[in-house]
Amino acid sequence: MVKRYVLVSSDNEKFPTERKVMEKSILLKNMLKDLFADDDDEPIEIPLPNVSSSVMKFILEWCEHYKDVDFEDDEDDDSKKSAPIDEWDKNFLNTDQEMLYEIILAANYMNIKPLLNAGCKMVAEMIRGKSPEEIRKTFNIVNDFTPEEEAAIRRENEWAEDR
Amino acid sequence: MTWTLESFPKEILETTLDFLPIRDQLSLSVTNKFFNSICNGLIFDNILLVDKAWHPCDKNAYRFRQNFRDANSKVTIIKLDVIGYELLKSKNKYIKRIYSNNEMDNLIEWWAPSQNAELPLILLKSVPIRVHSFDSLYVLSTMGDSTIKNITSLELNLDLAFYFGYLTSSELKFLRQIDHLTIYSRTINKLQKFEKIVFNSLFDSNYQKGHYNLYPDVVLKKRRYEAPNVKLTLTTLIVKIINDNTYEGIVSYENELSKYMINFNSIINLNLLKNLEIEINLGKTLKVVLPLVFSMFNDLAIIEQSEANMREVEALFMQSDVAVITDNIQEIPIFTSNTEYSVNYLNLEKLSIVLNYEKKYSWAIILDLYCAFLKAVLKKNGKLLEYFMLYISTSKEQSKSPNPYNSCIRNSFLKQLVSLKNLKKILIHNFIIPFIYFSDNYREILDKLFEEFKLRCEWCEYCLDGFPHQWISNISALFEEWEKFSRIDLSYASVFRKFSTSSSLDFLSYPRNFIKTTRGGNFLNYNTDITYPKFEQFDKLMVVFYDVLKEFLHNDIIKGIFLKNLDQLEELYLSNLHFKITRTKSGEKTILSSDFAN
Repeated sequence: MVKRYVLVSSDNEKFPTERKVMEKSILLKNMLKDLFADDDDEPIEIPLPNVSSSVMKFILEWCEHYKDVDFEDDEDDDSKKSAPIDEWDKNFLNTDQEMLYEIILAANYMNIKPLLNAGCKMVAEMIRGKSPEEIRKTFNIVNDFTPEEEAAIRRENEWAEDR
Repeated sequence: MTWTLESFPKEILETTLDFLPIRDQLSLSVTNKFFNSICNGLIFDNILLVDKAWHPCDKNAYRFRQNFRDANSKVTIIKLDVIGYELLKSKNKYIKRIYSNNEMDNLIEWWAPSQNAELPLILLKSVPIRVHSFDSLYVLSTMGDSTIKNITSLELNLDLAFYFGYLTSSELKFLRQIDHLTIYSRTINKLQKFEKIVFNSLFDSNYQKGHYNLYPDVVLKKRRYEAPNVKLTLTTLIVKIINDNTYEGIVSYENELSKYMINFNSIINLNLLKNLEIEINLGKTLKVVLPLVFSMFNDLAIIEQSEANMREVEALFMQSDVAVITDNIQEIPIFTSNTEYSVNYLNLEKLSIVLNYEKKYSWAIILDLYCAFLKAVLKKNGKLLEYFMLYISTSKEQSKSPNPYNSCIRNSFLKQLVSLKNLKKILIHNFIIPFIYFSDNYREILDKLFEEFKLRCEWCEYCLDGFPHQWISNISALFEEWEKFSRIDLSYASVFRKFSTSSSLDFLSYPRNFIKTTRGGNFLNYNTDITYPKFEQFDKLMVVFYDVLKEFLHNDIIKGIFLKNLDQLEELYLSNLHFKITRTKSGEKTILSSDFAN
């Protein structure tokens, strides 16, 4: 099957992609719908200047995996928010922090909500159950509180401790 | 480029936090200031849950704003409607405290553990939880110890609880842990039944029953029980006494009532009774009931629509030195939250009397009562009164028809106020008396007023010496200034707030400014022989008349009131601070009081 669509990464690498895969991105889906006619046989190149080639590979792999899945709009579904991250997604996103961040940002840019949520869930999992000190260590967060300020905030948060 | 969590766009961070329970959000908030600000934005500090019928201007809203204004700078108000529920559920927005102004039933049922197990219901201790159904009581009782321990005050409306035959063990356990339980009912039978079911098991000793088993028309509307103090200790009591004069046996009614009061006295510790509201349909029993009531209770709210009856009240009241008489103050909630006033309350610091002229009271009665009350306060306390406010409102409809009692104002209110020699014994920091408030046809009123004052000014013998003519002839300039003043905020509530919250009242500087602009001199120094009191010693001084100018004008009262108030202020200042004023002509200080307007 001839790939009619080509995504161009920020470092000018070209990724021939089938439309069904591309349409997992709402950004690309709307773009295809608005700008390109179906009867146009010419290959179409779509530049994505905010996405590097290394990230693009991840993104397209994810889209390929889910190309036949219709995601429901679960934005307000609390049960899905509290559901654990999908196992495939977990393995897929089990990469280094920097790549995870880049995937999340790219998913946000390309408007791929399920991937964005999966990435955010991964980050949330990295926070869950950790003490403030452990969170700082995990994410290289610099503590800019004075000891007094930190103590005051901890006191303020005590209401959640005795549940 | 190295990405960090902090460099994420805010919406992505919020999405991430959406997947975290509150405890982890709080942990993140401790890591540094950036995340603290992010997390704080997601957690409601204080929520005021209000009934779905709530309106921002209603009295409950105002009362809650008043109550929580100082303690809570940031209160999110959420209506208990569908949208409010969804808002609460959304985005893991947790609640530290809940304030509710009204029925909690809907919330409690919605908050049932089965539905929202992760959401803590943390209730503010000082806010009574009002429950109107036993379903809600059941839900509360099954919500776990962490919830129960936060609920110390519960109000239960029996009239809306359609059925209660027994209480489960969990409900009884729950009730036992409530420090303050208040039950309501319009019917004595429900109270009796509830007490029979509940209190026999809750308070099994020393609980004295039978005090309510009185006359059918003596309805105890509200009772407060304090546990674990077994002894019945009422701090707030509302008694509604109905006597329509058609009931058989007025005499026995009176006797029963007397017995009731005496019995009541033997049961409760009256020293603990801080607030009593009695509704009495004053009829033939008036003379029996009121002295009895007066003699027994510190705080009274007597609600009576009949002027004739209030005349009798007045007569009785004047003989008594213990009473507070007000109109139905519920309609003006801004001043009703303060129930601290008490004639015998030695720590009296705040006093509010709200008289709603839209009711059928006469000015004379109102003001007489006001003066009498003030006398009683002074007599009883003889000490610092930091705050005093009298608010009088009138309806436009009533303003159109001259009030037959208006002429009594001179002879009652002002005269009595002047006669308050006890004022010498106290220092009134904040003395707020009626403030003239101009309404719609203000200019027309001013013009007419100006004419009236000009005429009066020509009648020189009634002017105070040293109170120059031009001051009076320039009265319109005065009111122009007042107009500016009134433009600050036309709502009475705002005006009140402004003056009640400011440490120093700008208005006090106004007369001086005015005189300076109109006379080129200074009011305070217009007569060098007179040393005027230091206005600074009166933190708040406001003359308040609300929308009654027309009525006063039509009845030839306004100039009298106005000038008499000025005179009265002088009297107050002089008597308090021992200044002397020399007046010519008649040489009597009363020359500007009651006789002036005649």
